[in-house]
Amino acid sequence: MKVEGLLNSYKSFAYSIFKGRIPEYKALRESLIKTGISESYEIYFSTLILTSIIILPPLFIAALLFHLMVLKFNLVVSLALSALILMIGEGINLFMWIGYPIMLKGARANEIENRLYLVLGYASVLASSMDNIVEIIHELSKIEKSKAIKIVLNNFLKYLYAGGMSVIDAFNEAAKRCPSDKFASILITLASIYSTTGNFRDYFNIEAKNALSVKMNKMRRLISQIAVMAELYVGLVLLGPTLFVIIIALLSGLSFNPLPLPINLVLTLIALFSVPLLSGMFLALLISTLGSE
Amino acid sequence: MPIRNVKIEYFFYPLPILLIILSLIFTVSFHLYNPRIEFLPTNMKANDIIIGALMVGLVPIAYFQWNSYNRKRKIQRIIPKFLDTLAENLRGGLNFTNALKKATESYGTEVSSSLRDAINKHYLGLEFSEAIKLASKKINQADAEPFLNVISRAYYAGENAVDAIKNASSFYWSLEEYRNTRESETRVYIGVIFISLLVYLFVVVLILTQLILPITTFKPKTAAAFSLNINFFGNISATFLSSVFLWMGILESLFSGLIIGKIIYNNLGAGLIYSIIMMVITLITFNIFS
Repeated sequence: MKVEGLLNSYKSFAYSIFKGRIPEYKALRESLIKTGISESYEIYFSTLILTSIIILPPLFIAALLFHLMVLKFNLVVSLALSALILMIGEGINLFMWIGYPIMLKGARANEIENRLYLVLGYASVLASSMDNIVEIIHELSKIEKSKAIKIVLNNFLKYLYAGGMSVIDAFNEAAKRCPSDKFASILITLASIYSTTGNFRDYFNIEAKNALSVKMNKMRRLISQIAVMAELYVGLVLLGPTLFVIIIALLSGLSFNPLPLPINLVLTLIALFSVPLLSGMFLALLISTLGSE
Repeated sequence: MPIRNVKIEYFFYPLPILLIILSLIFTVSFHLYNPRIEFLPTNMKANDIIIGALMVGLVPIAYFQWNSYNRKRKIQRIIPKFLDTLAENLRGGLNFTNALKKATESYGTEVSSSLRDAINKHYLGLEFSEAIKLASKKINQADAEPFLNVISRAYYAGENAVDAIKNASSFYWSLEEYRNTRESETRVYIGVIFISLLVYLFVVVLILTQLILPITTFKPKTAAAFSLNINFFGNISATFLSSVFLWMGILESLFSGLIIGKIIYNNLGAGLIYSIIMMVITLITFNIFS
């Protein structure tokens, strides 16, 4: 509680300094709303600026002392290297503050769109046995395993039950805070169906069929992409390190060592780390392309 | 039983690491491997023991993962057929619980037995939705939960029950078609990945037997006359290079299996069984040609 209070005071201090001088980044503002990281773009950006300024002096001094005292470099080199470290540090800091919400929004949108066919399918099944849309959403939020979808559905229920909004307003508000544009448009359509025909069953049926056919087409495209990936795998992961090992072994016979390490250690490192590293990267690529069910 | 299986599985996760540590201690204490002199074991027996320990550690994990995947697919496959039978029974004039009971008799799966148990509990006075919730907990499978929810909702839907179940069945059939298409169209990659491993083994065996071994054992006459020790690979021995290629092959086998699991079954763990098969092929190849 104390930490939270301190953080709030820090944010309030930052906002009091920088309010009115905050640049506008639409993507960041949208990401903050849609991921729920921060309700206010202005407060978030003020905190970002203040933190970026605060970390500058200690980082620069620490880097300078390290270069001067530990590495024993001269002053000019130490200043240049410390400035470089400062730029890298600042870059990482800005990336964390600006990049993280944007990346999180993208990841959640991807997660939602990967499972949309299942959610809409279950919704269409539920809609054939019940008419009340709120009950359907409630059931969906109970069944759903995806965190990103659960957040959107629970937002709707929160606005409705705790926020005291009408069903239409709750749908529109949940759509505003939904990371996926596709799912947001479905929520907006649900709001308009609620105010007109009320026939959710037919709508869910059509949308579920569309989502499944989109998923099927995407899968067919992915299968052709996997063929390319398989070639990449054979070349990069299977034969690449092998060639590398042979080249290094042959060069060692000529008393040439490209690295300041014993050749045996270099070859062991290639054997034990290059394959897992390259295969891990390939698996990450596959996971991001194929998604999960 | 399935819930117990899931819990047991977690105990097996540290097993490969534990067995590798034990095998390292064993090989070091029996002087088969000396980490102070060599970075990788050059003795084939030491490699066999360490890699064997890794494979033994992976077997129970692969078994549970494969079983869990098969169980999931079994449930997924039975759902649309089950719903069709239930809809037909309802159309035939049976009331909901009797129609459900008759449908469970047609399919001998754990879903059927859990549903039969739920019907009996309902006959004994438990509310239908509560009985279904208990069945859902008993099955403890992500795909079974929405399906049982559909059945529970259809029970209370009255005259709309047949319609609701037919709608659910058509959705589950579409899902099944998608999953089957995916599996059948990507199955070809099992062959592709196995062939790529065989290509790797062929290339490595060729390099070891036709390039490295002749060069490391070759001694020119002039060098022998002047007692010169000429070594084309510096301090690297043929056995060390063979060990490097063996470990690369083993790691490639492990990851290739996981890749098969992701591409075909959309489940990394389901591919572990292929990893073990490929590791065995790699180990046998190196034992024959080393």
